[in-house]
Amino acid sequence: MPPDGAVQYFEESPFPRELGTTTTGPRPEPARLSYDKFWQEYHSSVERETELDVRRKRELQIKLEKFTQYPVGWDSYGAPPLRSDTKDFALSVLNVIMQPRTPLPHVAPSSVGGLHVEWHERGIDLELHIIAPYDCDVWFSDSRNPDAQPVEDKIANADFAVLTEPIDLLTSRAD
Amino acid sequence: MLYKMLSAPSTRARQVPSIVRRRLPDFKSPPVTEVVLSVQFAGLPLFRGVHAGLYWREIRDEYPVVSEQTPIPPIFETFGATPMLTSFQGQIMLPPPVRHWFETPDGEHLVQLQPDRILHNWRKRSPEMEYPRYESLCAKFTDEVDKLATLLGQEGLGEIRPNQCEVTYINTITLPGGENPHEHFGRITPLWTGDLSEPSPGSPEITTIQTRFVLRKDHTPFGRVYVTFTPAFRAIDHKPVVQLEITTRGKPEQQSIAAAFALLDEGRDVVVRTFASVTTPLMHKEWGRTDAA
Repeated sequence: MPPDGAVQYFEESPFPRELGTTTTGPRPEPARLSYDKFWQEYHSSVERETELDVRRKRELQIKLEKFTQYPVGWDSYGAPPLRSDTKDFALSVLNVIMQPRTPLPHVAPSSVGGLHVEWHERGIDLELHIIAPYDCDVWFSDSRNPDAQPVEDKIANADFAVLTEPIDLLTSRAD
Repeated sequence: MLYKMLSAPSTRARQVPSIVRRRLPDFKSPPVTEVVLSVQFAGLPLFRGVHAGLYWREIRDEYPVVSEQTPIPPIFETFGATPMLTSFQGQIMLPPPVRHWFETPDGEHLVQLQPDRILHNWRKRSPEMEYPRYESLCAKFTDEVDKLATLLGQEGLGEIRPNQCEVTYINTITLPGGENPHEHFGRITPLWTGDLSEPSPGSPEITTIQTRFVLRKDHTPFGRVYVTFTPAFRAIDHKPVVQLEITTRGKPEQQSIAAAFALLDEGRDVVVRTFASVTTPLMHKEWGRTDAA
C-alpha cells in the first residue's frame, strides 16, 4: 500500500533529496535552492550578469575545489589542505556579501586548512581569513579616506553585516 | 498524539533553552507525515564506506534495510546585507562519498549517514500509524549519534563537531468537508487572502507560498525558518492536499553534540510555534488544538 503521507506534485522533475526529506513523489526544488533561484530571477530583471561574470565565478569555485585536493604539506611546512566544510562555508559567505558588480576576490589556501579571501583595489584593502566555519578574521583599510581607521575584527558567528560597508565601497567606487 | 513538549527522557544531559520550557501549541490530530532531525558536522576526511558498514553493524537489528543515495550538499546559514543576491552554490566536482540509508522493515524510521551529516527521519507509512512524540524521536537520534561518536573514536576517525542543525516537519493538509484546498488556500493559512484587486483573471487555480524568517539570539542572527506551502495530490487516493514543510536550520552555540541537541530542541519549538502561526484557527479546530491560543 502506498504510504498515506505520500504526495504527488504538479512538477514533473525527479524528487531531489538534497535536504534529506524523503516524502514520496516528484516535488519541486528544495526551499533553499528555490530562494536562490528567486533572487537570481529578481536580480536578472534589475541587472543581468554577463557571461564573463558567470565564468569567473565558476573559475573561483574550481580554484577552491582544487585547494581541498592539495596534499598535506603543500606549503612544505605540513599545512593541511583547505577543509571541505570551510570551502562550502566560504562560498556561503560570498553568497551573502557579494553584490552584482563586486569584483571577485583573490583566494589562497592558508596554512591551517583555511582560506584567505582578499581584495586589493580601488584604494581598498579587505582581507578575510576564513579559518573554519564560523571562525573568521577580518582586516579592512581604505587608503582613499584619510579619516578612516583600519579595522581588525573577528567574526565567530553567522553575521557578516560588518562587511557591508567595505563591499559597498568595493562595488560602487570608480577605479 | 500530541504536538507538545514533555520532559524528555534522554541518554544525554542536555542544555535546554528556556524558550523550550514555555508551553507549546498542542494538537490532538496534527497533520504531520514526516519529521527529520539532522546534524551536519565538520567533514571526516578518513571516513569511508566500510566505516558506514561498521556503523550499520551497530544498528542493523533495528535498521536491516540498506540503500545508497547521493550525498546532501553542505548548507550553512549566513547573514549579510543582501540575502543571496549572487549564487556560488553547487558542487563543481561531484563528491564520491555516498549517503547510506538504514531503514526499519516498515520504512517508518530511517537513519541517513554521510561523512559530514547524520539524520533521522520518521515517516508516516500508513493511515493507522501515529505520530510518535518528538521526545521519542530525539531519544532515538541521540542514541544513534552516540553510537556514531563511539565508532569514530574507536576507529580514530575524529569526532563529531556539529556546525548546523536542522529540524523539518512535513504536514499533509486536507480541508474539512472534502473541499479542494488548492482553491481555498486562505482557509489553511493567514499568509494568503486570495483577494485580487481586479476580478478579471478569476480565482487562482493553484497557489504556492514560500516565506522565511531569521532566528536571532541577543540580536545576532544564527539561523532561519523556511516555510513552504505546496499544492499536491495524495498518492493513496489522488485527493488534493496542501503540503506544508517547515524547516529550521542554524548554528549551534558550540561545536558539541550537547549544543547540537539543544538547538534541535529549540528548532522543534520554533517549528511548532511557526506551524501554529502560519495556519488558521479553522484548521487548528480541525486538528483539535487543545492549548489556549
